[in-house]
Order: sequence, then structure tokens, then C-alpha cells
Amino acid sequence: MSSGHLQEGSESEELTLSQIAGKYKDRWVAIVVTARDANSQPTKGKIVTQDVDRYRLRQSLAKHDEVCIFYTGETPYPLLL
Amino acid sequence: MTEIELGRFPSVFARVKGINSKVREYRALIDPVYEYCVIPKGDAYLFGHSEVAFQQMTVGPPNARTLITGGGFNKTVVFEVGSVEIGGLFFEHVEFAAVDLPQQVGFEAVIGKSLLKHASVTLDWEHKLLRISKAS
Repeated sequence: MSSGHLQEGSESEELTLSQIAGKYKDRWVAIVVTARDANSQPTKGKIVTQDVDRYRLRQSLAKHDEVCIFYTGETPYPLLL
Repeated sequence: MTEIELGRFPSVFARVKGINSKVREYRALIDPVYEYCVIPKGDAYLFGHSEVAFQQMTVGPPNARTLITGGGFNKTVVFEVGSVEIGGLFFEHVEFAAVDLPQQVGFEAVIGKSLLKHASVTLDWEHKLLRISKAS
């Protein structure tokens, strides 16, 4: 899957976070949050852009005042930061 | 108090508002060992902290800091953001460091001691729950 930025004026579909994780596996995604749970955590959103490289992702987000960014996968390595 | 499902790592979605009102929301790792909260350098710049571009200069900006990380010494800048929201709880005057964590980590933001000192956090691994509330 290549990187993808939503064209201005176009509308992406609303997806749950698990649907986003399934559709864009192991990628960095930027979404506009459309629904939250009782703890204010995002539950649904519309994809703004997605990429395997988060630096490339960021280049296309500068004009957006508010987005939520996360990685849909999980590191296969133990963490020791 | 906010209760959030605890996954493999203690993490939470955190909305960070810059002093210029731009907002970035991250799935952030919770780690009290970090002295400061962390966001990527690009977002620090987006929030109006252009000094992040000059942190490597011999005479850096006044808010330049040298940090020790798992990967060695790291020069960065430290700054306050407008506010941080976690689970409906708002925190102000929180210091952040601009650091690019390795992409392979899968997190690009960390909630560190500069916020956690204003909160009470419980990691309940048995029931897979993370509880967070503001310190009284």
C-alpha cells in the first residue's frame, strides 16, 4: 500500500479505530476524530493521510490545525528506552 | 478519574494544544522515568517553537537542554505547551522536550514526569486498567 493523502474537498469515510488498524496495518495514520468514548479517548475518525514513514506523513499535515496521529501496529521488539 | 484499557504498554491518547492553538493528539506512552513529556521536533516547530531548529548550534537557545537517553546524549529544547488533555482531564504549564523517538517504537509522544507530577496514575496489570486522575 502506498502513502495516501486525502485530496482537498474530498471526504473519507468514518471508521472505528480497529477498522483503521485493520485497513492500514502497521502504518502511521492521521485522522480527524469524529467520536470519543466516555473517557474522551478517540473511537472513530476520518483518515486525513497515512504512510509507513511518519516524517513523510507530517509533511502533508502542516496546514491542519488539529489531527490525531498514531501507529496502527505494535513494535515486535521489547522496549527499553 | 479516568479509566483506560491497558495494553502491552501503558499508553493513552493525549491532546496537546500549542501556544498558537494548534492541536496534535498522540497515542502517548506513559513513562515516569522521562523527566519531560516528549513530542516530535516537527510538532514543536508547528506549535511555534522555531528554536528547535537551532538546538544543535554551539550557542543554542536559552531553553536548550542535554538529555541522557537509552541511545546516548541528546540535545533538545524544552518548552511549555498551552495545555494537555488526557481522558477529559486538563493539565497546564507542562514542560515538553522535542525529541524524535525511533519510528520502530510505534510511539512518538511520551507523558513523563513533568505532567505526571500533577496526576495520580495507577497501572493495574491484573485487570488491564490504567487509572489517571488529577492530583489534589
